[in-house]
Amino acid sequence: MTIQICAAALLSALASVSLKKNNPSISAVLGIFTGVMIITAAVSYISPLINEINDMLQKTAASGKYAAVLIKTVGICGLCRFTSGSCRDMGENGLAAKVEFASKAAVAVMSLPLVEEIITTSLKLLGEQM
Amino acid sequence: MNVDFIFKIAAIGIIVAVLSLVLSRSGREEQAMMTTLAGLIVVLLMLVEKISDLFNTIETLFGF
Repeated sequence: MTIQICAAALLSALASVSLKKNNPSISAVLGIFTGVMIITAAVSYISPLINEINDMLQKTAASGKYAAVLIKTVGICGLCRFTSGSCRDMGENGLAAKVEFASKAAVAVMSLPLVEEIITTSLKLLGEQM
Repeated sequence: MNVDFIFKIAAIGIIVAVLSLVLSRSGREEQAMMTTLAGLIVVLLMLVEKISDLFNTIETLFGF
């Protein structure tokens, strides 16, 4: 699995370099395509891990709601990281920065209920102590 | 993991580059441009399918 991924990345890098001079657009597409294939392989590889983490978090005091938020955040970060990296590879730094900003906004919105819960809990503690 | 697609795209790129070079050397600039565009569109159609697969996998796995 890992060896296959490394071999594919190396071959694609070589092909991309040799195509870059004559055909830059297809070279960029080749780079993105290899990225897509590698991420797809890796994601299918880690799916048992995600299930395991989900189970472990559900056994602890934290309810399944928090685990769902956590895993969703990881997914958003991974997806946006991949997209912004692909944009940066093609020289679109501005687009990459915008995708990163959007992912930060999405993560902030998603974790807002948890922050609210922390604040509510700490307020309750303070109220009891005073 | 499908390495065939990577080779396919690299081969399409090389063929399109050669065709475009030959056509532009023989004075047919428009056809060379059209060939490059057609190659790019073919490759993009292959790419879009795989990107949709990837996004669907991530959506189901991370529970969006």
